[in-house]
Amino acid sequence: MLIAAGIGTVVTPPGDTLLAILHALSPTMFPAPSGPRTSLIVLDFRLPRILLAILTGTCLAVAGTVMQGLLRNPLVSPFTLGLSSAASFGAAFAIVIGPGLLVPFWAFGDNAFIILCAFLSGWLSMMLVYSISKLRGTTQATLILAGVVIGYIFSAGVLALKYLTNNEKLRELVVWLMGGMWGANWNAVIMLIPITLISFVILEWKAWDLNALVAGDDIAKNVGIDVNRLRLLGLLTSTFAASACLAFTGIIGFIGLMAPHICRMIIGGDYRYLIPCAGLMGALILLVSDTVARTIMSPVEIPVGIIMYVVGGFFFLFLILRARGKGLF
Amino acid sequence: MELVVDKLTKNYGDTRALDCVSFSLCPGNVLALVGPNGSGKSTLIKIVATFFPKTSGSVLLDGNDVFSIDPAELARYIGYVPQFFSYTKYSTVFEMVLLGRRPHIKWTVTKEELERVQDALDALDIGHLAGKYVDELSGGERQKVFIARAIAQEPGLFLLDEPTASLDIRHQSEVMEVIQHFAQKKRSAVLIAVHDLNLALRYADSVLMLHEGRTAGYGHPENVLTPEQIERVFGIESEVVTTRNGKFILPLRAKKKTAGI
Repeated sequence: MLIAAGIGTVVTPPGDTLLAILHALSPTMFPAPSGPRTSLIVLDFRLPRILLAILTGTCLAVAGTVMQGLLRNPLVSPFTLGLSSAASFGAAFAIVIGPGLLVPFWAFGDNAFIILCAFLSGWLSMMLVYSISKLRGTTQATLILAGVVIGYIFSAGVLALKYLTNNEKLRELVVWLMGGMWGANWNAVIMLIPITLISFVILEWKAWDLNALVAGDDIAKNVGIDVNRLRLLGLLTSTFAASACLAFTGIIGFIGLMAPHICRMIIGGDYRYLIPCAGLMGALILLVSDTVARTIMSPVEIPVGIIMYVVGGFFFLFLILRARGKGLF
Repeated sequence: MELVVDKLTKNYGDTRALDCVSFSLCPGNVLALVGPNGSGKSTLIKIVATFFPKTSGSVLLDGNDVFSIDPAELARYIGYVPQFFSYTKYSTVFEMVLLGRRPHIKWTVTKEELERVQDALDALDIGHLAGKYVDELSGGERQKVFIARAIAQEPGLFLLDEPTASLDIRHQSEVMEVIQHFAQKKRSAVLIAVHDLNLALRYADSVLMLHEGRTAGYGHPENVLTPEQIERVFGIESEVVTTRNGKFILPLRAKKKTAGI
């Protein structure tokens, strides 16, 4: 985190970076860093962005882990189920339509309104997927295909919004939809910290129940779990966490797929440990990817969404090829 | 625990899956459910487990309606072994059996819980497989893991839905002996659906024979599993042979009507 905060177009030494953070926390105990603009660069630009990457990586990875457990499908993640596209549609809708038609709601704060729209839209997509998963004869592949189709439908909605909106907003939307941490600011971070923490605590609290669900619905019911309530609560919480982050970052694909699988290979399938481990892994993947995205072609930066599509796409392919005849989960 | 089922009826739409089925099961006894495919055995077990709602009738566990017992509390009374089960490639045998302790665990797994799991594994002679992934086991070993999970739950009533279906002849006997021993030692009641009539004859204290959702026979195994009953319900001619090791059912030939299908 310290390294990520120090590198960029302007490189600041780790000592100065640390001093800038400590000085902001306690100005009397720690002196200001030597560089004239170090505090400004670190505190106002890089730190919110780093924290947004960590929070988004954590939320998407935890959401992916829980969704895989709830739907007992190893290829499920917020991205593959169409949730990312749906949440992005909701957020884009709020950005384009928000200040116009919905002035009374907009007054509550633009960030809150964007999150609300992203969540409602994401929740609609998850309920569609959940209903499909309940149909008789639904296979793991059907669920993923349904997710892809739902994702396309919401992407079409985003395209329609892009087509209808004016030039200034169009560019804003296009860049935002590529997925990136440009939306980072302290307001976004302050909003996402409690959402991430509350979601994490709820999902971790249900870790034992998720463990039981591994053995099938009947076994889970037999050990006293209300399976339907667990699925609804788990999907609601993970959708809320993922949608809130996606509202600020645009579509970031595959983290929710990669992080749980990497962690399962390392620590096994016990959700009590898998949820926090996947959260940390997701944070690490997105922080490293975002740092690479903004430094690899410095001073020009590329959207982190592009990096995630490439890395995640190959990982997805690896999972499918590795699982031939053996099963993924 | 004592299980009393009275006039239990279950409809799926217009189809009647169970029709006025009544029986009782005392602690320490094994009741075998027998009947052809589709006769309602699994439905009956799943209603007693409260997985399916009933249409009418009553299911009482120690005098209490099972549907009115809190699910978390019921989990300490009923242990269920399904016909088909799922697991992930990352599930170890120990973790799978530990799930049986879920109704007794709040969050932390205590030393006592670990000992109970080990006891359940040892009871089925699969203690040496504890660290293995379920994915790596044979079908028979996997079935034993799921029975061990139910044993670890320490229930007063076992519900087993054809637990010997995928086992070879040796494992079938082993599993039935463990279940019978556990019922007698722990005074648990066991309701078990089986296809092999000889297993029912040998290990059950009583037999409930179902045919098209209705009771075709109920009572002591030797009184229910007669050649006449078997021919009427299963459509197969058979003979009951008495040897010095007990009685055995010898299937002879399918009745012409059934054979012609």
